[in-house]
Amino acid sequence: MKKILIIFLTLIAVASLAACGDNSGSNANSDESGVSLTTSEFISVQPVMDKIKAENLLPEDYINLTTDDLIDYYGIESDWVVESAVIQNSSGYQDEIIIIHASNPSAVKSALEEHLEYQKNEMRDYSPEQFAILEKCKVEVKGNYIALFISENAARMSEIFNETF
Amino acid sequence: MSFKKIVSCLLIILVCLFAVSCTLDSSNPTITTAKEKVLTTVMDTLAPTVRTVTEIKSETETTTKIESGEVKQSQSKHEAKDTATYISTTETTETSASSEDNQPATVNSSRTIIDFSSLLDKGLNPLSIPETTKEVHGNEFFNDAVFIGDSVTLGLKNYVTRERNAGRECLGKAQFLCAGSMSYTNSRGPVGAKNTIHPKYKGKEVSIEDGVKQCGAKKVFIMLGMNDFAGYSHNTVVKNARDTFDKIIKKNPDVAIYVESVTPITENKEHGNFTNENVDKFNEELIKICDEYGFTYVDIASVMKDDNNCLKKEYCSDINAMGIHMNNKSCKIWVDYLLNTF
Repeated sequence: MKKILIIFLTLIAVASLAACGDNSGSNANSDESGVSLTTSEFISVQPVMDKIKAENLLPEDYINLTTDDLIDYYGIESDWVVESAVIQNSSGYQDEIIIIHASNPSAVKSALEEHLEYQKNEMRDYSPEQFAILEKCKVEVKGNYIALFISENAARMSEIFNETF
Repeated sequence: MSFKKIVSCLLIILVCLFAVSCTLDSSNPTITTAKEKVLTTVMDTLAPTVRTVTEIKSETETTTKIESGEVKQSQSKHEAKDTATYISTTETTETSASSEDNQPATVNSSRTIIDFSSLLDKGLNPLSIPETTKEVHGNEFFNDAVFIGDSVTLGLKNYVTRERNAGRECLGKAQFLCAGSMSYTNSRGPVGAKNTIHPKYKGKEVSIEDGVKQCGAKKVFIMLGMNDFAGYSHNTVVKNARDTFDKIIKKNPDVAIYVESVTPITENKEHGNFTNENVDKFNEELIKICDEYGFTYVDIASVMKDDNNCLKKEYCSDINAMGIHMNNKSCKIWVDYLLNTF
């Protein structure tokens, strides 16, 4: 009985060490909607952003947001994201270029739609020019690829996005 | 197998856990959570064994007769061979109940609370986090800070994000609750009400005071007012600022508040109520409020002005638009001012 107890306690100690393993980070092959993505279906979002940049459509001064930043800026959990390419005007308002390969596309779409409405509410009386830009924006969905372009150049950015996915 | 060998095996397991814990970074929230998991597991696995030890030892203790309904607490110091000394506290409650033969019967219930820390701290506590009361400065000072503000502070947030993403420490782990058009006036109404603006915390719109609570900050740096000047009188803005501070304190009584001065406007963009004279007048009121409430006034404006009391043009990112937002150069000056002040 005592031997069984010792073995049991040892197994618990080993199991607790295993539980301390890193559970963070996204799995490129996970998809909460039940669709598994194979390597051959994976299209990187970064070339889309690179093409937008190459056509000088980005603001003069901007910052790149990482996937981990998205929870703070947009309420998007890193678990929902396979890959992201997100740029925001350094000033904190005006341009936002958001392209996401989502493992949970419905959650990402919902979060971006909520963000767009929030921005419209903010700018309605604060900046009529910015509000006019926001009114033309919409969240774009191509399968697991979600995008939101808040920019004077949103139309061309949308074309590049739709050509790619 | 003897009791001594059982305890020896347990000590070996604890030493192994200690060795693993020593390699972990306690500042990593993932690891901190892992440490909590291990602690819970250790406590759960040790508890039955230690309780067993208590039971064995308690057989030799003298029990004290207790009065009906009274809770007696006895504290016993147990010393078991080859283990550390630990403390157990026993609470015993006697209640009266009637029995089948109508004779009064007493029911004793007891629970034993065992202080594991005394057991584990004898050099065998890999999970203890020593308390420290040392003063912190620089980036570490801002680990429990939150910056509340409008689009000016949003620019600071983006600057800080860029620095952190580049691997450079910047204002510790300070968080931000900002909304571009937020003011003391339009943030007063409830979330969702018409004509209100509130910041977002993890994507959800929250009131300022709720945001402070949710983010767990202990230091609140606040810079608002610029968006108030355009539409409201000086006295109204001052009153609304006081209301905001009152709400923050009421919801978060243990936070320290640092009121940042409103920063200046470039000379070419002053117009209407949107003037540096009004900015200075409002900042003087903020100083009075800080004296009255015991807040700390942080004069960011002092390092942003040119000789004409206006925002230096080389510090402005929108000199042809609103003339109030900071660029990377002025954001660095802002951060350096904070780090040098605290």
